[in-house]
Amino acid sequence: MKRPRRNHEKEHPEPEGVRTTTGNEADCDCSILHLPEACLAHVISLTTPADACRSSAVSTAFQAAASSDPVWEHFLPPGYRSILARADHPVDLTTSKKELFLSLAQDHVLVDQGTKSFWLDRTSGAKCYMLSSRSLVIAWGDYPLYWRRIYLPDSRFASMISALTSKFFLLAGHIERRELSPNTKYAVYLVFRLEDETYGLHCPTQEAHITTGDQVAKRRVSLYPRTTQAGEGEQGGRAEEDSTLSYPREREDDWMEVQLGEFYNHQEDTEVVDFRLLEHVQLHWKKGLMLEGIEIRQKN
Amino acid sequence: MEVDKGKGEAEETRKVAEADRDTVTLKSSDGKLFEVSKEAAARLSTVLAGMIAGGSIDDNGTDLKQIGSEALENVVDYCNKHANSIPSAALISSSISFNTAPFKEPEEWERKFVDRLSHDALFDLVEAANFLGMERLLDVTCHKISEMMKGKSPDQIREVFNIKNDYTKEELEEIRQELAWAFYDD
Repeated sequence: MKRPRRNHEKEHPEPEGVRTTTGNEADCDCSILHLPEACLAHVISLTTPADACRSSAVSTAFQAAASSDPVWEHFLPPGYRSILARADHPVDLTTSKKELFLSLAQDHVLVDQGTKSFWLDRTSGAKCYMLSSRSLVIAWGDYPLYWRRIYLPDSRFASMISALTSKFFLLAGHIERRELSPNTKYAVYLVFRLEDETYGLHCPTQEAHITTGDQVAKRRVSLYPRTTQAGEGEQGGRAEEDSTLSYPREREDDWMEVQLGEFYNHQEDTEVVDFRLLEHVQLHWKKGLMLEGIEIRQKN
Repeated sequence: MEVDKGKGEAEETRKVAEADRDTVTLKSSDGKLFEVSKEAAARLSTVLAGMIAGGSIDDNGTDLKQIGSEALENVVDYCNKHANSIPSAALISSSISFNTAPFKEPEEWERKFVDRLSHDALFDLVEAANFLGMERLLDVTCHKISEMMKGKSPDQIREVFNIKNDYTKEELEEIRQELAWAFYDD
């Protein structure tokens, strides 16, 4: 009798009907280890990347199943190859799928001529992006009197944009929903740094808009940490994220981020999500914003 | 060549039903016979579909030497329940290849079906589903096991499945360091 096609475990040399074991089964009635490795791998592929990593510490048999390519191919997002084909520097696809997943979760990959960076959320495998400041629409962005292009060694992009002075303030970017993972909640962040001398960036009429279809979610955004404004003793500003007002916080990579809003990416959506940061009411002079980009990542 | 248990019954069955009947008889490794709807068997199992199409179904009971009677009973039970439930479009189109198709959450009756099984019965059913090429049943049973693992520490997983840790201390430490981010809870 032929084995089913999907049964792609390693060939078992034992005669059919004899139970194969995948591990150290001595004096143990752990019958889960009697399952063919492909079945155990299928079980693990229905958990999450974090569960798979933890299960590799259970026993050597679990480790073998939890490291197998089918498991991590399942965790890699559908269509990852076509995204990696857009990488500025070729990504090594000859490694194991687990290594590929973990490397994409650890480090971002520049795609689309350095205008975006792409990586995976390591706990879920959701697709995440940062849009470079150069790829955003910036009001007066082409006028060197107001904005200039600078080169920083710790920017992930080749160059970034910095506000010299600006009155009218509008930054806008967008992403197609099909570029993101389905059925996933995303949050959008402005990633930036403040120069030594800044002004005008805490304006209470500074707003972020997230537009999905005909819905616009708005919130006020300060680019200064909460402490400087509220005068609390504590320095460094914890993240303050409620649905009406955002304050920035420090990131592990020494940049700062402030949440512009969040949205849910449904499976069937094909449209574009648009995000913008604007101040067009008071028109204060603004200065000292170094802009790395806009990050769209899974909200955990 | 095969055990003769239950053969009398089988012969009775055979006399009544000829080639065109709408069920098939399956024989477990321990010689027990089970009837299952031919339509459901062919729809749910690639292996049985191949055997039915290839004419290698034995009216005396098709030998499934790898599957014990308890697991085969569950297989047949699943096929019958499946035939009776209103199959959603998702289930019908679920014959896309392993690991590329997104997993479809079990329906309520499928959940109940696997929830009542003991660990051993569940593992045996996974093997049977795997052997028979029953994609959906394999998904549903493996999903049930995966639910028992989710969010658990290695120690808890060992406890749930009664597994011995066969790592040395050093090996375990190496794994934990390499994947430190995943070990948030112990």
